[in-house]
Amino acid sequence: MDEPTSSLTQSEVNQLFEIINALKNLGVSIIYISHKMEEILKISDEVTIMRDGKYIGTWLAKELTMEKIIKSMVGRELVNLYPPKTNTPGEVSFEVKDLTSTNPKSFKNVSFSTHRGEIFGIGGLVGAQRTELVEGIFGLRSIKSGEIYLHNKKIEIKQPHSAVKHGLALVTEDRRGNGIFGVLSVRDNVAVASLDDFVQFHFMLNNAKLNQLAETNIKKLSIKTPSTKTKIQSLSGGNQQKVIISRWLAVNPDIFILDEPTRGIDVGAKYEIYSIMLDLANQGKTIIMISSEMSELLGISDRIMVMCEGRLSGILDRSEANQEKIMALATAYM
Amino acid sequence: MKKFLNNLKGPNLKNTLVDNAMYLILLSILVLVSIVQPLFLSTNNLTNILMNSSIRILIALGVSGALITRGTDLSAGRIVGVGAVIGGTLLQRPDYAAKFFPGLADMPVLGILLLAVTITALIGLVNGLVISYLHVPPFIATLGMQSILYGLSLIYTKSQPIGGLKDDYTYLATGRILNIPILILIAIAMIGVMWFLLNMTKFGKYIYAIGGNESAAEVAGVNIKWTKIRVYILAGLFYGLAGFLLAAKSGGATANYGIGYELEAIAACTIGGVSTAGGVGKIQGIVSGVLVFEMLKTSLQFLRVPSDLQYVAIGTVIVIAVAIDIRKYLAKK
Repeated sequence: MDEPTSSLTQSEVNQLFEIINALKNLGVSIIYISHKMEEILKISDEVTIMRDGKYIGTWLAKELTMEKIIKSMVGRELVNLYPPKTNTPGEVSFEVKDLTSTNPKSFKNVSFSTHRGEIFGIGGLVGAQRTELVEGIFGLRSIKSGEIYLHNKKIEIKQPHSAVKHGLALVTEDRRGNGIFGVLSVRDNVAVASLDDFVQFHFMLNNAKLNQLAETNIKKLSIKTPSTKTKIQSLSGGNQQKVIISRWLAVNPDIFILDEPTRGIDVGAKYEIYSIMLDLANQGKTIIMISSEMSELLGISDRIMVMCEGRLSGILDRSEANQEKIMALATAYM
Repeated sequence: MKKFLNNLKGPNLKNTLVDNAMYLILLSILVLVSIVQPLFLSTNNLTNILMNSSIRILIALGVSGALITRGTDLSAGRIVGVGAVIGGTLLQRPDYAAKFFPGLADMPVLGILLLAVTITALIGLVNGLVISYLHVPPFIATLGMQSILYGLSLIYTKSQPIGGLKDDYTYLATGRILNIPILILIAIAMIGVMWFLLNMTKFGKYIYAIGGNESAAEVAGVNIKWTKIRVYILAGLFYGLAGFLLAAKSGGATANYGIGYELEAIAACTIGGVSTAGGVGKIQGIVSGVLVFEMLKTSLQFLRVPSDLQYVAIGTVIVIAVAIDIRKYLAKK
């Protein structure tokens, strides 16, 4: 099983584990791949750890602790799961007023505003319509009513093309589905959204500069790839995600929307992605991050908006937020 | 070349063979047939193959854009036919007895060429609009266009064959510059144009992006509708030019010109490594695909394979060639 729980709810996960245990008792061997440490420790008898395509070792699960696993996965002691927060939110940068989807089962009457230099988390259970909301903002889904303001100016976004023009960026939840161009090179994957900046004499691309762009980003985000010409599909999930982030960095947007940015990514790469987010926030960018991982929401956000059944159920400040309050809001309308 | 030979020595032999399968097939056809029929290597015959390929390459270049964006173009052959009948009917000798338009003055070749490609580009535009805005799958949209154009061509020509073309029109196919046939020079120029568009422009990058993952292209801000429309307009231009030259080459035209050419062009592109899964395809592949295809047809004639059996052989080679060629993409996944 390869990351079988990445889109399951907690009760579904428990159900899956019951099935796995039943199979185990019948004498079936199960190979279970996961980046979620708690799961690994809960379900396995023996654990094999790999890093960068190499075998690191095999241990009995009862001999392992979370720290030991992380250490072997990252190759060094990882003291903190989250980088220290250094950003300070400024004035309002982006505002959504009373946004309602054309689909009556999707998001309705959502209003929120975000600030420069802020990491704005969006939490909720699977099915809370968070992805639909940000895709609606980005012009990928149709909207019945509502307004969007960027730097206090009203903007119209009918399609992703205009969202990008206004300085919005979206790292989607489904990396394979609408993130990467699997058969294209790392270079083309990085460059696709910012090609306008590389046109010379009005029609011709400067391929040397495109290579440079890719190489700079590979270094800056320490993307592990044999070359800029490598097809992105042969990279690991974490490195693919960093390529997609580079794609948007090249456009230099003001508002970054990240939908489950660390799903299916190992702890080392997660830390690097958090660092990039903080870095961007320090530069005065706004980060809107959807996450289903409670600890991630609490660890990196300045404020957390929680949704339930398509409606906004509350916005918590970092200082007052905790797991119980988020859970209560996530189930508020159920 | 040195690198190629070095690779042959190492453990990479198998990879090298697979990566260059198409060129090896091309080479082995050449060697095999020339042993059996030394005349195959005569300048005359080779020039002939290249001249036949020249027109086919134009069509393959046109259809390749559609294929790379995960579309297809079944109207290619019929658009070639339109280009041919426009050239044929408007560029007859002034003194030709059975003129299609009896009162028509002597028309300039270049002017009629522009007219022909404008009309075929407009046909491409219609294909693009139907695919982008009416969301009709390319297979069906261009299948419909194929039938519409065939009917219109028959009506326009009154189902009559057109002959008696002007000398300065047929010169395009018979003439040479620096002893190189003009037809081949045109093909080389168009290969250059398409290479430039695919590799050096935003348009080209968007073609690969849409083929690679249309949803991801949309999120990245690529204007998908407009890019696809341009792909089909460009294809129309290439087909129109091909049809115009085809009439010049054969000294006449009928509404049947170019029938089935779309399938040969799609087969040649696929042989040349253009993936039907989208996002993959290089100019050198497309060109060698067409050359392999044309050489194969000529070889079979040289080997005196009965014409019925030639269809069987061609079909078999297409499938085998693609099966070998696709290994290089499978292996690297």
